[in-house]
Amino acid sequence: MKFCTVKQYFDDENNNNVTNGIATTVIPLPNKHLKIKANNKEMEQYEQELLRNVMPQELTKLILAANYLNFKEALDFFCRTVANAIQNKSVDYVRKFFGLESDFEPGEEEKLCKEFAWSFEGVDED
Amino acid sequence: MRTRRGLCYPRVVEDKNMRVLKRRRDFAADQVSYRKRSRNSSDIAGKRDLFDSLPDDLVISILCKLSSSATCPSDFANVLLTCRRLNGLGLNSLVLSKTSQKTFAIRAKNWSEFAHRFLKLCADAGNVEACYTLGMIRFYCLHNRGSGASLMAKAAISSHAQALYSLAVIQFNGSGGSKNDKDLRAGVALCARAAFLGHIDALRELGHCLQDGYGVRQNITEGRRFLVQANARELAAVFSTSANPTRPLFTWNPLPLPHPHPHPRTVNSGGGGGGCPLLSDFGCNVPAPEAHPANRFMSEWFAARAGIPGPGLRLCSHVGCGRPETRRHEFRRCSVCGTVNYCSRACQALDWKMKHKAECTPTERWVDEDGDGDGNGNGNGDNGGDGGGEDGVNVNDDVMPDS
Repeated sequence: MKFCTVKQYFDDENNNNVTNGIATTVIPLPNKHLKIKANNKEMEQYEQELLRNVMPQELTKLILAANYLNFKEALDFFCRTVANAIQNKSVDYVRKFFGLESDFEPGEEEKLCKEFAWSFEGVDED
Repeated sequence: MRTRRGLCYPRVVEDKNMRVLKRRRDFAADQVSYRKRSRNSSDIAGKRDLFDSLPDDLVISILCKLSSSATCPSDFANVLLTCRRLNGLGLNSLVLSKTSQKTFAIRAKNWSEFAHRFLKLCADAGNVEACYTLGMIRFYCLHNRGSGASLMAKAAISSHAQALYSLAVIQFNGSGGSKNDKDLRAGVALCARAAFLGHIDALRELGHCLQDGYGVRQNITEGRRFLVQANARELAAVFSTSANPTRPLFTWNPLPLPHPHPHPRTVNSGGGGGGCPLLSDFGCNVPAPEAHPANRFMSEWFAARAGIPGPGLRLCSHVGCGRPETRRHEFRRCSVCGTVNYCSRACQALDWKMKHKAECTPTERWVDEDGDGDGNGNGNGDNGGDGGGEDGVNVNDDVMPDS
């Protein structure tokens, strides 16, 4: 039973965790899963299409929705998408992606850069 | 789960344009903190809110996916430098325990205390690849035999095939100790475990041990079975990892028949089913497998030291291996030309087909029954690497001839 919280969800009217747009994306996923049960390639294609135009904000909402609905496969997939998006990009790109600001002290940041200098080679300039 | 601003999941604080829903009693404090943050641009603000709204455990699962799919160290290290929260969560032991093998592909020239510490953190978190990599580096490069071996043992206990094989090589050679510290039976046992996990070099090594009765009772047919299996797995590995279907996986130059040559064992024992040719002996040249980060690190480390690991010590002549001797005359050498040394039969076999077959020329004939590599590059040698010669090069146990 993939949707353990669905029943609760429908009973719970004041729920803002999952907005309408997100629900329409996430909920059809289990049906599609069942139809293409063993065929991984098709599932991948379907998922690629689904997430081609999704911005990070949407992705975060999708993750939260999948988590709330206790839908493990979708959660894994969305997390993997985020991971692929930030893989081997520069520090600034990752900051921009998540909308973060560096909250290190200046000395601290330099120290960390030095500490991890051994790992830096061949980073995408994207 | 608390997010950075102290909100409790499953509540979600939306962007200020949307309706804010609070369910908990402590909403007053949150209202205050919410209003305090100044927004520069709604775009960044929107993103930041959303990232903040992700609770720690979800960020950890994103980072786990990132670390397990990383293909180089910087893939993962970038995230640790962005902000305090990601730094803290990135160093969570759950994330570190899933880090992939390639994240530990440290270049030897970049080695530092921090790299060491990072590996140690990952090893402590239970990452088997980190245990193995750090074990190899400590054992061979940093000369810390005890700690290196125990780290490798930790990985081996979790059935890490390379760790089991590396420990087997150490036992066969008595590395880190004297010649009397060789434990052939232990080496065979470890090799067998690695072989049963499908490790190709271990399969070859085990096959040769069985054929020679080295550390285990001689069983020639069983040994041959393992050697054949090693060849089969090698071929299967090429097919399963081929990324580029347009490029030919391997070159195939079929020969009229496998090059016939005298093999001492079959001559003496009359068809006991002696050695087993490598794939390259049939003209099928599979590309060499990609070296493990630990092996690559060692090759680079010793290359930077002019290829000399110590006074009078040599490196394994197989470039993909990188292991150094730990005492003089530890490795065995090619009995035909005597110019190359190998840590194990498996390395010898791999190097034979990759380059030694073409360049091995007999300089002296050893007059003993384990004899004689066959004529090789002389015969069919116009293309590098094809032309069949069996891997008939037997290594002597020591450089010193029996006198």
